[in-house]
Amino acid sequence: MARQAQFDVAIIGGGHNGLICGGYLARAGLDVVIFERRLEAGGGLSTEEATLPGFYHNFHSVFHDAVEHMPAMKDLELEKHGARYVLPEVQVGITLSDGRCVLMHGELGRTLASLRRIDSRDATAWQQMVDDYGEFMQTLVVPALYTAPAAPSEQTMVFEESSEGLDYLRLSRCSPIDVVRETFASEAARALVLFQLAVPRGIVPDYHGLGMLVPLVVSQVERSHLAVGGSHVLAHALWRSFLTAGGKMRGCSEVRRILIEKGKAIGVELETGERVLARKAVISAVDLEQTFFRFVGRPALDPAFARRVERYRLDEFSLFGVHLALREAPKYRAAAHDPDIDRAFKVAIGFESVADFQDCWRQIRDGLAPHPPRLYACTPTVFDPLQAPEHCHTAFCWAPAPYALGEGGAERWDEIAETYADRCLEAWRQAAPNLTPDNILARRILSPLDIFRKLKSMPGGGVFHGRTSLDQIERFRPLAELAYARTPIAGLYLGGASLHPGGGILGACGFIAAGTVAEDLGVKKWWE
Amino acid sequence: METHDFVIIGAGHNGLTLGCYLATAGEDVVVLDRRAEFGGGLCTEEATIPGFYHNLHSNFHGAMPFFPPYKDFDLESRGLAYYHPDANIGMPLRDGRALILYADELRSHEEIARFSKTDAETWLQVRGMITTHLEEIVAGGFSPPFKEPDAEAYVRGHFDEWFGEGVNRMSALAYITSRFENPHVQALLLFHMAVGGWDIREPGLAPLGIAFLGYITNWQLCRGGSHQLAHVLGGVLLSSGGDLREHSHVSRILVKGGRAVGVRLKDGTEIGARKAVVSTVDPHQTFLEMLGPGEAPAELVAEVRQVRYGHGDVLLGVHLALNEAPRYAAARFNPDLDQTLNVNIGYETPADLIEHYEEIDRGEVPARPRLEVGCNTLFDPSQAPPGKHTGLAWQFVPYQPGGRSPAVWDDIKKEYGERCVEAWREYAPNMTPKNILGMYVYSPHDIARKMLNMRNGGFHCTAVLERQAGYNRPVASAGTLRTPIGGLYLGGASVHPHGGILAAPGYNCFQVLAEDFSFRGRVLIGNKFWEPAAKEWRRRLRAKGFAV
Repeated sequence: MARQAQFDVAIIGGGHNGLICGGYLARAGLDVVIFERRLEAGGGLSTEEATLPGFYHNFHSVFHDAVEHMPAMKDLELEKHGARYVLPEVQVGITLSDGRCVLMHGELGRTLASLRRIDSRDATAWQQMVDDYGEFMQTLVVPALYTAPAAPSEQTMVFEESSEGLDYLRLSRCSPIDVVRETFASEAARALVLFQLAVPRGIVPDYHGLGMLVPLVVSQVERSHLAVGGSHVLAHALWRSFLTAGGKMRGCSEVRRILIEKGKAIGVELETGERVLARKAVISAVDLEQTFFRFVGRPALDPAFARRVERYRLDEFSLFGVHLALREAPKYRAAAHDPDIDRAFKVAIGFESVADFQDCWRQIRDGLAPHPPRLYACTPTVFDPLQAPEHCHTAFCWAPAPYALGEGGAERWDEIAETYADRCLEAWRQAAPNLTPDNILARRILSPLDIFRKLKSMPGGGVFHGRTSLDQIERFRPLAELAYARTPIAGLYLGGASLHPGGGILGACGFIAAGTVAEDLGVKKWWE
Repeated sequence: METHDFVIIGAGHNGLTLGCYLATAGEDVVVLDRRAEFGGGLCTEEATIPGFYHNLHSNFHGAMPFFPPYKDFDLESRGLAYYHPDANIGMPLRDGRALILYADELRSHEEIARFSKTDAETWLQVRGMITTHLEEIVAGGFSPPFKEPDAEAYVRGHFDEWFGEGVNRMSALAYITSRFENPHVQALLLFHMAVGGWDIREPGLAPLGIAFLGYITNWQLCRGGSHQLAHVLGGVLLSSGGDLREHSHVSRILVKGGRAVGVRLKDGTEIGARKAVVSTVDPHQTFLEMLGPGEAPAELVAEVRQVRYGHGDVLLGVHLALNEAPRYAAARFNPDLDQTLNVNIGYETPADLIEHYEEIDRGEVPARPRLEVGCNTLFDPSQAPPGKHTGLAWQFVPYQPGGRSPAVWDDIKKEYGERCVEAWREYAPNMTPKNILGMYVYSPHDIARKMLNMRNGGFHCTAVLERQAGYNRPVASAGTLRTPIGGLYLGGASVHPHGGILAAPGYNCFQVLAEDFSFRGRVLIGNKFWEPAAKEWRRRLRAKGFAV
């Protein structure tokens, strides 16, 4: 008989949320173990030498918008444990096919100047929105990301008390498209906002009721940072922090099922057959499907609850990534208009107007790989030379794309990946002519199907762990009865990105779950 | 300035092992690594298709679970597990037969008897002798080398006493061919010495061959991939209070008054070392790049310039994502072949091995690939998606094809990789293009670029030659792991005994440090005081009348 280990808390999934949740609970004095199926912990914090030796590629998350807000940074001493960030001054660049571009800088004045060169009315409108909403976003909206979601009635009552709040409620009845159209005159300014809602937030411009996020982008309370050395560095920092707090990490350990006795979760059984007991709580930081249908199993679930879990809607789109090892960084044609485009962190190619977004998602909804591919492009080595050998660069582009293709389903990606990557590069080359074959030393594709192959918590290749639509956010994420991380099974909690506020490297879901678990176990929340 | 007791350069498995012991001993230690991922040759990547894990460097771990760190740190309690398949090494033959050796000694005897009854008896006899002396032989590997002439006399004398007059001056080739008669048996045994990464033709290395014979059916696989061992060692290091930093490229060892007092990183950060700096990287980087002019004695510098890198340990890897596991034609002779861990393809007689050595001596890429292959997923399904497999083939090659730049590999590796697969297909007919879902070819040029201390692509980091063995490894002035620079020690694959996943160099370095910094008697590992293996080794030597 193999030895049977016992812990206070067992966490399934060592993505950043599982690690954060574990970090808080281990520091609260609990004996915590994390089981990670993959060889590398970190989930979407994945950096690999995927093309040539010394070229590091961030396969999933790159744009870390929450660095300045996530409590874990300080609480878990992540800097001390090796996490370092750079803040690119030019945050976003929208390239236009006429050779111009519009940029969003870290400094508001420079953003306004860039807008002014396109349409001076939009500089004024942008400034107005910052004046109207900046403080409101900072004081009410951002903190809500790190708090268990409030009941809709409570939330409304708070907003009803001020004129910005009322206005915010009005925007909550619009789509982002409605809001950018009523605010900005130029298509470029509209694109500048919509571009940042789709990635890294998962919000498609026509999502009803999410117009209130337009001022969040415009007021720029969340700025995109790049992890020095690659996104996986944050995973290592979280791992170090967790271990030094006494936590135990079990890698290459796939969970087969959650052990339930008398309606209470008491531990997990691994695929190796080993059983590990958790005296106080089991926390699943993976997706709903695996948690409830694979690990718990339908017989233990109330059928009505099971139906609601089934109804949970996955992301509507995935990302097709082409990762490049380069001799020289992309040089954009639009640099003639504004040289700063070459040091923009996130560059839009083919997203110039509302219509471009509509065209892209229309095709995605029809199960087509969009033609032309419309891209999110980034050259991390412009900001962090550590990610490539000296005098070389890494860059990547993401094309929003469907997981299941109308013809041939998701499996068809394997057949068309190379050709589609060629098309992506063609589109990119039109904006950055130096992306010629002799500049590209090697490339590696990560299709929507590859994403799911790698990370089982991203079914449908969904990097946001479930659609960020009005019916699945805040108090309704992932389901009304799961919003506080508790589940219908005693002792079983959720801890991953299916919780409010959702996917992306926000450091929020695991933090919120740790709060709930600490409350239920009567453990002092040392971080408050 | 940030300061620690000990600063270790390089977080390969030796640097990690040493760090684990130091941290457990209560010393303040930091282990630094240039790369984003620590572990060095414990390197597992999804190099073909997501979900397919490939061990780009070490794959077959010889006997790790028997070695001291495994038990000292109870690595199993941290989820580390090894698979030790019974059908351990095998060899299909063109004529349809197959020779397999098993972890089970008597099974191996039966299989050898199908080829030669005499060899089967010799096998039992030789193995019996090795088993009798194995503990002592291994203790020699897990002790820092002693420079006393008596110690050398002891080693040499006893190999002769145990295994026959003149053994210590023999090559492995001469030893095996003089003891065994059947060419296939000879080839299989010699092959497993050759894949140890040293020249079976070199006189004086027969004792090393004998040590390899001691573990020849002990190839094991690390569950989840070799890199998991790095994670687990890293976990021990951190949980014991040590620190581990990636992206920390040491550009300079700081020397003050002839003593190493810290390191400077490429980004300018300086980290102080109160007690010692240990380099686990190759001697070239350590002494010629990390020390300033005049800081290393001229004699040492001259010795280091003579060190040979990449001989007998330069491999090209072909990593495959497979739809189905290889099925061998020779499985009709012995069905276990399809379930054998480590398979030799094409080296049917010693002459086949010699042909490759000679081609490589001439700088030629072997015209007919012959391979070491494996299919890890037969034993560890977690290394590929359900129902799928991974395949690995290694081919000995020169670092500089045709004497040209190693960069030539970038142009020829793909085609050569395909030829390796063809060679495999001759013995396993289902290794067709249709069965291969993805392929990644990893050349020695890639190796040398990825792991700077595997100079010339050699996995031992310093070639294993008689003149670069024992207390002459890597050079005579630093072979006892102490260097002429005060406070600077060596502890990686470049020191005794050699590279590969043994953890012995790191372990040996700890013994030296324990002596120099008087940890002895106060290092608690688990619930007992740690006893250096060298102590037992010295005791035995003294009992035999040697002054060590």
